[in-house]
Amino acid sequence: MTHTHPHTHGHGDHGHDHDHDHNEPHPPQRDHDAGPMGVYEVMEEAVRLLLLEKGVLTDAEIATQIDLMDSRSPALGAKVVARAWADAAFKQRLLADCRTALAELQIDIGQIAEFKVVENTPQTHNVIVCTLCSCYPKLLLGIPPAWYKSLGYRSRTVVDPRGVLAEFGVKIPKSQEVRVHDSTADLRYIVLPMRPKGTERMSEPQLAALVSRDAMIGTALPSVPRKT
Amino acid sequence: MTSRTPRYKSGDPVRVDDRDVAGHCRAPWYLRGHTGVVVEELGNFRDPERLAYLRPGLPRQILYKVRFKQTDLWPDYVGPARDHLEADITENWLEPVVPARRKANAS
Amino acid sequence: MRKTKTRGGAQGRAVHDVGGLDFGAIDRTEHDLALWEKRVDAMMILLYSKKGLWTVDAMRRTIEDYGEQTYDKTEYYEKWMRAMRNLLVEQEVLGKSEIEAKMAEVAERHRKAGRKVPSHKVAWA
Repeated sequence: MTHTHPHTHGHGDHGHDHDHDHNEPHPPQRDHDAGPMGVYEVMEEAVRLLLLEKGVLTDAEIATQIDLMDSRSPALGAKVVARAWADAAFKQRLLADCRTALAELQIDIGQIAEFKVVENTPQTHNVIVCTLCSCYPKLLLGIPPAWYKSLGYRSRTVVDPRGVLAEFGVKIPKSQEVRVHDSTADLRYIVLPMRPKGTERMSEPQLAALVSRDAMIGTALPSVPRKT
Repeated sequence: MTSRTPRYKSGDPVRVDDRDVAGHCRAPWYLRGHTGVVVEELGNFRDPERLAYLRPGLPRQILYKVRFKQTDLWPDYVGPARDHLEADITENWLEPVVPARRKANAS
Repeated sequence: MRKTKTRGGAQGRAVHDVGGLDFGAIDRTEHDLALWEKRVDAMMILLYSKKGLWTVDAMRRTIEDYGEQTYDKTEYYEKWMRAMRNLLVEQEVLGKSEIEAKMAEVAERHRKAGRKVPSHKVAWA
């Protein structure tokens, strides 16, 4: 994950000026609390304070929920992929019943949606999109990247998947089917990438390191291990 | 909740209804009126069109994974004919496709 | 940028239903979420799943009711925040005037602390 200034997101009102106050003394707050506020940031604070005052939510509930989401990440998904590559029986269970297979790894996907894993093969490359909103397996992979939620990705992936994949640097040969999954209902999709050749002797943690978030969305392929 | 018998099974050709709706729905515009094939029955779920207005979402809707040929969806699709798109569509948005009756060979 | 039929809401393609349109190149810039965005994510999920105040589809319906201009110009968690505000009023958990009063109070406090705070309001829709 690239780490950039948090103020590059979410403030349509005032532009994206990173350098707004670099010559001014910072107040004694965390860096990102010093910049200009967006109107929705003001709204968040106001609504949160009202909900706390009225006892609808507590600070502890909000903190626990943020911690839960922070505990879900592409690294967790990569661990699942590595297990599926290393253990054929687990892979079959994962494809047949994702919820139960993830529970074996102590991953609880909650009650909001079901998860489904689609497997890449030499014949088929899968790619996931949600044209209607931004459905995503958040309780495995964490918060989706901004581009997954963008109008560009949502509009174009269904009509020109090969063009979109090429923009991500993935060229799929015409001999291989591209299969787009539009997450229109209660299922959240995860791509199981193909295990790269030359990885037969790798441990699960080594395998997991080859699997990026985008490989589990279908907009990337796993890294190919370097010859040693 | 009594479970209903699915109307469609894997392999059945189905068409996505082409109706307009005033409120929330989950059948995307670009699929309406298009024909695909059921590839999986995914179980039954509360109806999003009712849940959106805080009604109980009943009757529950059977959900199907429907596969469409990309070249059927987009007249100017640039990829090969083997490319597909799959979407999850509730039964109330699907209608059966009766295979077109072969015309008799009479001239 | 939107090609094909424009989105009209009640008749035709709805504002959020963008599959097959062309919004041009995909901006792949990445950034960590700001704390306020994480809080919006957390509060929204708590309010519909744990507190049962509404449903995921009610949140979607609220966002889908934004006009095309608002829909296209707002960021993801801005959409969520606006939906949360609107649903809290719809479900009579909070009142419009108390939200506006609290927003004015929050804005004033941050202004006094030296932050720039916008003075415009977000329409009730």
